[in-house]
Amino acid sequence: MERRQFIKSACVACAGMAITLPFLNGCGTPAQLIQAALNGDELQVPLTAFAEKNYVIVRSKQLEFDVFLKKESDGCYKALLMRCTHRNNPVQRTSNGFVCHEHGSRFDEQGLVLTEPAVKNLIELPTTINQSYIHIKYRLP
Amino acid sequence: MNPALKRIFFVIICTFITVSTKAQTAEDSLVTGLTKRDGSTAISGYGEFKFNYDLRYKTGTANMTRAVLFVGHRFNKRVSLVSELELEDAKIEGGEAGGEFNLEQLYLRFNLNASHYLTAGLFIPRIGIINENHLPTTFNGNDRPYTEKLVIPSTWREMGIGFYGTSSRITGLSYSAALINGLNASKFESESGIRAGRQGGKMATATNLAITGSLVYNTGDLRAGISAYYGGSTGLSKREADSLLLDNGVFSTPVILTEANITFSKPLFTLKTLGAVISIPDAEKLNRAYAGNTASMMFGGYFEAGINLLHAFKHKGEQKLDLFARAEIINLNAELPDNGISNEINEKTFFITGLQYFPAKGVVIKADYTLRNTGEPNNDLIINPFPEALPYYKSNGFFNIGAGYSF
Ligand code: FES
Repeated sequence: MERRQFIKSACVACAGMAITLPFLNGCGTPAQLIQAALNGDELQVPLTAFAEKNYVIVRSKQLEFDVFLKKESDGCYKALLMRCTHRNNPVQRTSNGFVCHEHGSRFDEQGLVLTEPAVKNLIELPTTINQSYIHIKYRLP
Repeated sequence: MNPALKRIFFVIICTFITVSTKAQTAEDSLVTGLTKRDGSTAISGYGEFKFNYDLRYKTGTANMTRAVLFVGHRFNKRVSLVSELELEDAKIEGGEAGGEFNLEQLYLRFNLNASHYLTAGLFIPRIGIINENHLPTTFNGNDRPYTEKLVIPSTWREMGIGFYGTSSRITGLSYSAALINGLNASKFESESGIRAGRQGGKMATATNLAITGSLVYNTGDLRAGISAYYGGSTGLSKREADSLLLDNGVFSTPVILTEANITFSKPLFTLKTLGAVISIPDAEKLNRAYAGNTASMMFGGYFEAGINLLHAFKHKGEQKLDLFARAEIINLNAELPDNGISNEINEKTFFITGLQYFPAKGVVIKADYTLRNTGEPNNDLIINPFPEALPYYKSNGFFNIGAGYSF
């Protein structure tokens, strides 16, 4: 391959990657991700968000980390801060827990450590239900 | 300046203008008291040391392999600094081999949102498993897998910019892409592949660049990853390149690395496999210029299985005892150009088995045995043959006992 031709194709590949990667994330809001406004130090999630699913990932533009909010089988709601307890990297939801790509820590669905280097479980945030909203207290330790 | 290079620098500058504008206009004041305070600094670290006994030569060494100090600083919710200072082999003394004091990483991180960020500086691209996840409590054995040392030259960090993200649409999918400085082919060595050509942020030639990208998918107990690297390896001026009969350009004399890995983890056991291939189509030109006996193709791979014995015996608690075994095959002269010289010493297999005991979370004590087999060394390439030098054993065993920590 000619050098000029290669450089051209490398630039195309680079640009292609830059354009394609964000699309893996999709354009619209995925079903599990909901945007919530911050009210004081509380995130408010409508109960209707759980009409067809048993968990949502709550995101607020004002906050650094998402919150995983799950409806337990007893009807209670459990909120986990999606921040790795090793070095505060965001964790990613998987089909049965969470993973942190920074150094490979894994957590189960309840936020308990499965694989080090993280040694502490994910932080659970207090929740209350008031009328038709679940309120999550967002205060980092 | 080369027009392609100009274009790339323009894209980098535009990207940073966009990100820093975003950083300055963030609604930081709204979250005061709700997130970690701006200006907070975090310190942590990891390290490992070992005693090694060579069963053939009957010699032992005790070494403080490495101690790494992590310092992170959060400027605001969008911008933070990550740094790691590493001291290898306990000390550095002038005129003596061994010992290294280096920056393992130092980069600024710009959060785009809760699941995407950019890095700029000296960072470790996502290639293989160990390159990113190399804390001693996370891999089996005193030594990191040899494939991820000799083929993927971990810990491999270069200067550049990176983009990292996780998909919120496809649960468990994450991706990364990076533009970094390329390797320095003048330092390639036959017995260590491309390893010595890493530049590690020390006056790196930056007129040769590399692009790298990865996809990692986590589903259930399975993690599967693929990554690729394509980078120029001669950052020379036109005049220098012409005099060495080499090409000069951003991606000239490319090194191409592709890799795939799979990990399956259950509380009781873990299975892991990885394969990596390096191709250097212009290796002949490199040999003509630098006489490094560079191969045009190298590969390596391993398979590892581990079992958590305490879990098997229904022991509950934070202690863990793992038994593991790993088999590796590496060929650093899988294909040679016409001017390459075959050296079968570069065809290696390793078998490693051992125990890992975790007395507390974050601490591991390791004991393992390594059996290394290689092909016959090429006598034409030996400068000081036996009896001036010690005899070379194609088959040798090593016993290692050591410990590691991470906090
Ligand atoms: S920050 Fe999550 S594993 Fe290190």
